[in-house]
Amino acid sequence: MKLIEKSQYTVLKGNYAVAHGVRLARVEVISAYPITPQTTIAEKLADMTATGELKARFITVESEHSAISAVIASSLAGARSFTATASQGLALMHEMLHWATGARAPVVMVNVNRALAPSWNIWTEQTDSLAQRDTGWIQIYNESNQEVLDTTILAFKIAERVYLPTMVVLDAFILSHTSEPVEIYPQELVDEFLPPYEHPNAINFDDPRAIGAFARPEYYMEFRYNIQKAHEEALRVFKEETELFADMFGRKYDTVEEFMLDDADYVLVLAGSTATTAKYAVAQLRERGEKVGIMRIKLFRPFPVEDVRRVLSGRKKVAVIDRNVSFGHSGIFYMETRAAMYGAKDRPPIFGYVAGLGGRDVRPQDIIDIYEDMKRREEPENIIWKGVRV
Amino acid sequence: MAKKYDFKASELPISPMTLTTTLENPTGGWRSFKPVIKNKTAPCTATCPTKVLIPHFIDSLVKGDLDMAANLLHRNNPFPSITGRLCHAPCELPCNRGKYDEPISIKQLERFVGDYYLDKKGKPPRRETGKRVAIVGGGLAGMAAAYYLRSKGHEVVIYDRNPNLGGYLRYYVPEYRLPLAVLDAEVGALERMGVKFVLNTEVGKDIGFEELKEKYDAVILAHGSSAPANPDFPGVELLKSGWDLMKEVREGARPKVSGKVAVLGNGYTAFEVARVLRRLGADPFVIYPTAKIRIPFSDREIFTLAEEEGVKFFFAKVPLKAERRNGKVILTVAEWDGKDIVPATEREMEFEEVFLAYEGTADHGFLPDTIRTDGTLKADRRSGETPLEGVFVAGESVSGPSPVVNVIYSGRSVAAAVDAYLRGRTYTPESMPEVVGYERIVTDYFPKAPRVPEMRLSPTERIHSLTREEVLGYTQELAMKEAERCFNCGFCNACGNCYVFCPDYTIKWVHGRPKVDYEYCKGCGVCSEECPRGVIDMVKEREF
Ligand SMILES: Cc1cc2nc3c(=O)[nH]c(=O)nc-3n(C[C@H](O)[C@H](O)[C@H](O)COP(=O)(O)OP(=O)(O)OC[C@H]3O[C@@H](n4cnc5c(N)ncnc54)[C@H](O)[C@@H]3O)c2cc1C
Ligand code: SF4
Ligand code: SF4
Repeated sequence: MKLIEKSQYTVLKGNYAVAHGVRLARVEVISAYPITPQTTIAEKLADMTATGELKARFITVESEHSAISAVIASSLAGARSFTATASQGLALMHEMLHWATGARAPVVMVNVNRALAPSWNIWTEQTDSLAQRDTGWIQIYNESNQEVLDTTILAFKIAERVYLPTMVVLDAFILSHTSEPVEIYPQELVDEFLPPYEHPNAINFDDPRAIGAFARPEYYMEFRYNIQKAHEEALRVFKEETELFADMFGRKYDTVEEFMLDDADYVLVLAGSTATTAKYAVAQLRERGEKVGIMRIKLFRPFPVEDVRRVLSGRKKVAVIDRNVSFGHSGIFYMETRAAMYGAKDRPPIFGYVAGLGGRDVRPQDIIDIYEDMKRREEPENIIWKGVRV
Repeated sequence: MAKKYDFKASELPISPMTLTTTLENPTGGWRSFKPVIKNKTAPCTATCPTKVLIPHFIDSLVKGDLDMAANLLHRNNPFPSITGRLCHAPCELPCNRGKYDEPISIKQLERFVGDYYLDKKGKPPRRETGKRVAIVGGGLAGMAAAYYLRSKGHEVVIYDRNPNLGGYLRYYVPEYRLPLAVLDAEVGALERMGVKFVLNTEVGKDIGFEELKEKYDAVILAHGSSAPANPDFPGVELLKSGWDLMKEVREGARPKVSGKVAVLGNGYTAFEVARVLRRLGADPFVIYPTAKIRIPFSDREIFTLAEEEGVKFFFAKVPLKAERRNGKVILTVAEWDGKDIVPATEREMEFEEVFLAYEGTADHGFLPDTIRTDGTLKADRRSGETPLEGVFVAGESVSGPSPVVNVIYSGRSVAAAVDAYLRGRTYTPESMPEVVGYERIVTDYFPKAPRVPEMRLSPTERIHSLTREEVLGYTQELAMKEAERCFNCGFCNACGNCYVFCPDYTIKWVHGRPKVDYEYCKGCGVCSEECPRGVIDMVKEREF
């Protein structure tokens, strides 16, 4: 019997899928501070460490800033380390997110996308994680609970190959608190995929160094250059590891997912669980003979410029649907997509839509409306608000 | 020209890190102030005449280790069951907790621990030194000196003219203040330690002072100050002795006294005699030379108790004359301004009886002249050393009437001086580290809580008995509750705050105590700020 056949199917909420991914990755140190809608990840992991199901240290802290600080340190001490947060918690971590990258601590963090306050709101929105775009973290967005579990495992593999911290992102409630069937792989198979963690600069207690040391202008830029190179490397590593993952576990992921794109003239671009709704709507449009498909962005940092160009070049029109907003400009995926397409051959006009902020539902009809709106429009616009009562 | 920075990005380590080991350049090098964990003196201990280790024993009490509490308590006070009843507790006045809500009930805690240990104490010393010490007088001073000298391994022999030890405490202090059973237990402990008693033997009469000096390596004079010292005025011989009354009552007699009686005196003996008279059924008036506000602190407790019991006072008055007329005593008194009689203030007062209760004086008649000047003993205040080699003095015999705790301290410090003398060392009086003021207490850590009252008899209950103890103290439960209020000023009770707060984990926990790892301590001072009890000081590393 092949190892993969020993997998078990269970019905799991997204947050528990994360916890099982962390368990299978044999994480050694966890530190997290409760925040809705992340809390049940930390709770589940606390349970697992308490019962011994997961042999890890769970460090309780008084804030997210301390949680991320703790796991940066444990990661640099040579232990595979994990934290999870959402929204305000992620914002509080901001300073240390830069630190993790600068110190090259391959921490993995799950961020459950939640809208930022005020107005207080606990529902899904991508602005919290996208606002951390320039901290140097790898960011991977997910559409289903299975993908969440798979990506958690993958995240450690990629992070630890390039020594960059990695954020795995899932939608509040729609994934975090909604149950779906999930395949849980046998430990041995995950062990084969993910070797024990090592860091070249891990603290050696016989010859300790201070990590995060001072670097004058003569050195600083080279360190920054190396981080950029690591991101470029991460793009290749992502491809390699998703290939290997597909071979071993039977699920194929890519930087972008292409749906009904073969002959599509129109492309809807989005990320996260809204893609599922969009796929349903696109399937209906296809039945009506509309030539429309979807490009779902999975890898946001490093941004897969080549793949985006390959998929979008030569189409008639593209609409990017953002569940986030960068005030004063537009949706962020839109901004990134347009930037990637600048200079590409056969560049289509790109329309920016903002929808579903603060957890407002994005329904199949909304997707259809957006599609029809895009088809009607002559000139692309940066920000078209979907469903706002003005 | 050689390039100064001749390297490529690919040659850098992955993480920016120091090139050399931090073992040689630990963060401790950044420090300009360093935390020093150092126990200090609590204001209570500083004020206690015998320097009882108050926060120390209270901490052990809180932790439920009663034997350790007793041990720490006995370090500087051999008789806590006695001080726990009789001491005027000056320690409670400066208690830092008093600035927050109410001072700690130290005396009651001391009594609780003392009573707990009363029958357990009295272990002979591990080693005998072979040195012999004679103590003249087995009052409190002699007993205290004997306790410490015996525990150092010296042979100790107490000579007393009375049939039993205790001096004032046995023969004059009333049973309702100090039960004889308590005193007997203390004497029993001395016996178990191996202290020898030669009783019914008066030095100067039954055995000569010179003989003692010959036979022993050192002699301590602790013969008290119990010779009568009554003022001289016409008719004084017609008056009764309050001292004799106290002694009779202590021995079980219940003489009949009734009606208006007066007590003449100049200290707490007068107050105590009045209280005894009240219990015998009389209506006592104390005629006292100074103003009410001049009553010394050490006598105030007894004064208050007397007042509660209905004893009346004539302050700032002195007797001029006494006569007996028709079976009554007519006493002529006048106002006294502290120095002189105020003219034209004489008046007569009529009493059924008048008792003399003036504080006693020392009788040094049995001693050679070489040790005296004008009838007073010459001696060092702490060590008790006299001009005669090997002869020391302790207690009231040198200090005059004093509170029990001062007498105990005298016995204790003289014992230390004698021990040093016997070992051929120089005696150095004990010194105390700096006192912790209220400003060093982080009161946020201590919820407000009122002082736990001890159990006491009411004034009406009190005046109906000469034997029932008037203060009943604490149960264990009450003692623990009160003990928990103590801030433990300046005494590290291993609360762990510094360990928890140190942001760099440089405070280690070694054998249940904090220890700073100076290699890595940056000197931020958080530990010092967060120590609730002022144990950690920030000390400048070097002068710049
Ligand atoms: C009525 C009363 C109430 C008191 N209440 C309190 C109180 O509430 N709180 C407080 O703090 N203090 C109180 N005191 C004071 C306290 O009792 C004394 O401070 C203490 O007992 C003095 O001890 P001492 O050893 O110096 O003297 P003493 O107790 O007088 O001891 C001297 C001993 O020496 C013996 N002696 C004397 N001469 C010779 C000799 N030549 N040969 C052999 N033996 C000799 C005596 O027999 C006696 O036993 C009170 C005193 C009295 C009288
Ligand atoms: S002996 Fe007296 S002053 Fe000293 S601690 Fe005890 S009660 Fe306080
Ligand atoms: S709080 Fe405790 S240690 Fe501090 S002065 Fe009062 S009794 Fe002494």
